[in-house]
Amino acid sequence: MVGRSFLDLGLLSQEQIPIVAARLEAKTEGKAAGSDEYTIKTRNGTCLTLEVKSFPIRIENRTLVLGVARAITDRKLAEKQAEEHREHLFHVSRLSTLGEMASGLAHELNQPLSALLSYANASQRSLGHADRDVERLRANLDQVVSQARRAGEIVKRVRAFAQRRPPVLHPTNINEIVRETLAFLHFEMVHKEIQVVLDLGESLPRVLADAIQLEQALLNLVRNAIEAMETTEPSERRLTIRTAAAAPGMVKVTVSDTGAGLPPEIQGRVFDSFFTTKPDGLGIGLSITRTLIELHRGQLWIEPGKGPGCTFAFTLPAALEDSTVPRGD
Amino acid sequence: MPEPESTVFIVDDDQPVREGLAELMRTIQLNTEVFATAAEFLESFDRSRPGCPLLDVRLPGMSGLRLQDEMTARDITLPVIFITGHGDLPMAVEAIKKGAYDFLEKPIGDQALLDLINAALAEDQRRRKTWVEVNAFQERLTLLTSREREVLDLLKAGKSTTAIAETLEISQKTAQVHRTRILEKLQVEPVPALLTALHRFNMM
Repeated sequence: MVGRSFLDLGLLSQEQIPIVAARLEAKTEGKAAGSDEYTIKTRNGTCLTLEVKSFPIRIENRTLVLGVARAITDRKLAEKQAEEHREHLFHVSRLSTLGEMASGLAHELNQPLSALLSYANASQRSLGHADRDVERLRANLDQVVSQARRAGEIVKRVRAFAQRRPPVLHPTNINEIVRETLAFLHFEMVHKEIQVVLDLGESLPRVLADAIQLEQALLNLVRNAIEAMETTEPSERRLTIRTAAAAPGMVKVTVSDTGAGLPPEIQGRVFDSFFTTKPDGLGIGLSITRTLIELHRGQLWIEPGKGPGCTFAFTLPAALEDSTVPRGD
Repeated sequence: MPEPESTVFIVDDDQPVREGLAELMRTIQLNTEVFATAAEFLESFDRSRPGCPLLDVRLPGMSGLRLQDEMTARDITLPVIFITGHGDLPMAVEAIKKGAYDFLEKPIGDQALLDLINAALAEDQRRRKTWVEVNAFQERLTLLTSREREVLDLLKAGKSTTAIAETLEISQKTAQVHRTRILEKLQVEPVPALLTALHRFNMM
């Protein structure tokens, strides 16, 4: 409550006065720490919950308590709850996506494990040879290590995606997000014979984003594109992802497929919750994607008339350079 | 045992996977060649080279199954071994129905793989030997006169010399001469051995 004193705000109730006094005394003597929550009655008669952080300071041999109060209004609480619900929904949706991709991820994990096993077996066998080549053995063991790391990276990626944690905004390279997202889908692309075309802009400004949420948004769009091409001839299946700078201070990402496209009468509804054209779809993917993009202060739309197929586009504001936060690593 | 020049043609889009397999083959002194795509393998293919292809059932571009179709279309009869992942059983079954030699599920036990490779290479040698014999036999068949061909057809039908003489309205002696000539020209005797050879070469 910047610029206002406690007295301006209102008064403590009679029964709270001794509690507050005891706390303040404890603070003065350095016996208590942390923040307290007090409810005061404001002049217009409503209740206001304050979160008070206080600590002792010494000025000319007198010990005083300096307190900072922050109002936690009902609106704030409601917002906080809504945010938690939303994050919960995002998380549940991520888990369900992982569930749908489980078979592909198992294949993906099998690749480094197969390679690792071959190199390990080859090493074991060459140990039995009289004329074993130590350099060759070393090279094989290096491969064992690097393939084990590769498997570890896949597990790490899945775990990060499955984790439930509050979003953290960092200046992020959008092209890295694109590559990370595609790494998830490598197996599916190969299996469905989809040609992937990347047209990633160079030296793009970074965007302030939560990497996992942005991956989630992009993953939803790309998986939709893959599904849209199920009836397309394999030789015609092409997924194009473009990133480019969009004036002013915006980065634009487009995801295009060569599927059947969306009829105009449906285009207006695809972002609605529980609207789906798929027999086993829930209809929350695109609605979640739009929410995610909007939470990053961007916009998501369908690019009109760019057939064949469908093009989804979204923008994100570029991060201000002084908002650069060093990564945690 | 397979002849030394046999090669295992490894086709897998994942570089460490194919190099790892090649390294494993080298430990039992097998020649290997690696390819990232089905197209690369087909391009470099030379039918005079013995060996067996080891194919990932899922390959980008042309899948392992489509490569198999393409090989059939080009009359390439190498014994193919497929490598499949979890849940690829229907694809493996299809491959076997279309004449693949066998399949293995990832991750692969090295002994099972090497045993299977050796068996496939031996199968290739067997097929090649048969192929050489078939060619030589067909060559010899062209030496027969049209009359001798008629006699051969009747022999195939299980007719005796007497019955052949009656059917063709020739003397028994003439029929016997034809029969002897046929066996000489085809370098096989007696008649039951000829019939066995025709059976083996699918010419009955």
